Amino acid sequence: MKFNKKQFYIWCRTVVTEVRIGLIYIQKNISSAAELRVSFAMQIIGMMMNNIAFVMVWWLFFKAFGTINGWNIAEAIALQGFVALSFGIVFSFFSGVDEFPKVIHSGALDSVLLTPRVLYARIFTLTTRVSALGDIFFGATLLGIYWILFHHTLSQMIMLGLLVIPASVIMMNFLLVVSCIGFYIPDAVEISKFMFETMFGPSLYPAGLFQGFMRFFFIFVLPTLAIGGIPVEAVRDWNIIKIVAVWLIAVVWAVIGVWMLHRGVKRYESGSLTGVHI
Amino acid sequence: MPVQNHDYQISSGIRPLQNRYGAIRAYLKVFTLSLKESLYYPDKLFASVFIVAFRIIMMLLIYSYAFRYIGRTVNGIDATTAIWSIAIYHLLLYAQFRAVFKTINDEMKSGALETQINKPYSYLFYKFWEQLGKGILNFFVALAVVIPLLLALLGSAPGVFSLSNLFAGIVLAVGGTIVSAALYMLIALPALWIDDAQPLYWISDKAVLILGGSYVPLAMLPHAFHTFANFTPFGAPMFATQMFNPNFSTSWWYLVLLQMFWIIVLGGLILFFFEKVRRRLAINGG
Repeated sequence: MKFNKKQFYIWCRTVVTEVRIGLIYIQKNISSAAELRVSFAMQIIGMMMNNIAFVMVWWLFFKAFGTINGWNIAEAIALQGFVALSFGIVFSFFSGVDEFPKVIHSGALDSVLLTPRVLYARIFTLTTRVSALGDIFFGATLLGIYWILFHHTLSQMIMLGLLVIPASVIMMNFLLVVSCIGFYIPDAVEISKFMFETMFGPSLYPAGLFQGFMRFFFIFVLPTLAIGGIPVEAVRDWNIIKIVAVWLIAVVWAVIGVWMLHRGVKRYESGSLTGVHI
Repeated sequence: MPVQNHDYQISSGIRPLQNRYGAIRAYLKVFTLSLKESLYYPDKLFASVFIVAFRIIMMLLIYSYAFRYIGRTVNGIDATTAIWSIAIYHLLLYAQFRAVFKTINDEMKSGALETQINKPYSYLFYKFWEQLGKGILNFFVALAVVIPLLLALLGSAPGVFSLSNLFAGIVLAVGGTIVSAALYMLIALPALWIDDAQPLYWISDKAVLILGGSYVPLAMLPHAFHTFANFTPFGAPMFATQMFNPNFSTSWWYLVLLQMFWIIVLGGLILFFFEKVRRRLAINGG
């Protein structure tokens, strides 16, 4: 295939424009949410306190059972921090995809389709969830604690931080895929929510408890371990295969996400809903 | 039937229609309507039952593996007892009143409260029966799915199980449901002052999650947690999960007394704060 310099330039310019506009949308969404200051601050602090419960649960679990397959409270802290950080990034800045089934069902997708933006990027930046900023702060704090208390190297922590990118990509695209059910089934809000919960819930469980078929299922069928357990194990053991595997799984889910979206949009029938969408 | 002179003044929390039988009939109607409404959405019912079954199977796999791995019991609790206890927690969630928080919180935020508070019924009782109608079907369907599933996968109920324990467990489940209603209604009321009481919900809900034994049964937790579960309202909604504990047959009446205590305390607090809400509420009409 002949390399077309002009096309590549246009593609790069489109990506830069989309990122710039995406950032403007995110900024607008957060400013709008921060209007009620007390509520804004309480939601962030409340979410951080809410997350402490999960650390406590696994601390109590490992206190009762001791180390299981190399997993102890240290790994549980890293896991909770890592998943909270990824979840926080997805739902703070790209939570539009969470609203997507509702948008399809209500016919409000018309106004999104008519915007001169790349649909894939626009869907993610439709809304922001303020409380998820608390997840980001909580996740970062917990990973800091993990680093200080359990004496990991800086390079290990940088690698763990970098793995947040593919983990977030997997989460976003899985959410997009299950949201696209809305194109096939009317009012699929509950169904897509419960499918996401089915995938996400077990990601907070220590990966050492998943062995044999369960491990295979929760990596390759549902990407549950790829958004938490595997990155933590990969960085703890410096396992390059696992690190590469997480990035590959992210690419696969991104491709599936884009493919499902384009297939779904072809089935979409306009609801002729009039209104303004900023 | 002559038209009764109803008391149309803005209703405080526990000031329903003057005709008590009429009030009971009205609340039962609300309950029936909510129940019927939940029947119209079988996909939601299927989804919620699937989620609870999935969670319980996950817990079953985790606890079976963990107990096999360490090869001993923890505080006298074995894998079967732990799994049944956790399953009861997840089942009770459906009958309980977590969702009532969202309803009241949203109505406070949106201002919809003003259109309901001046009706000739108690706003809080209305929400209670409405939520009970929404949740009860999910609970019984989940019960019908999960109990046979557990019996099939685990082979039996825990060794300490008996009919008297079951009866006490049912009493505690009913008491816990009332405590949860009071707890989640109470934490929704501050929404009028702080715009959104969601953070209070998160904190309370997670306290119930830990002290109720959703992931780790209370009997497996250190003693301090037992004290905290008994002397705060966060353990009381899920006392029924203790029905498989070795000493349950001697301690259940004490748990019932604690639940009664929390119902009275939380009920009093609701009345007090609802009166404050009523005074603070500004009805703008429109």
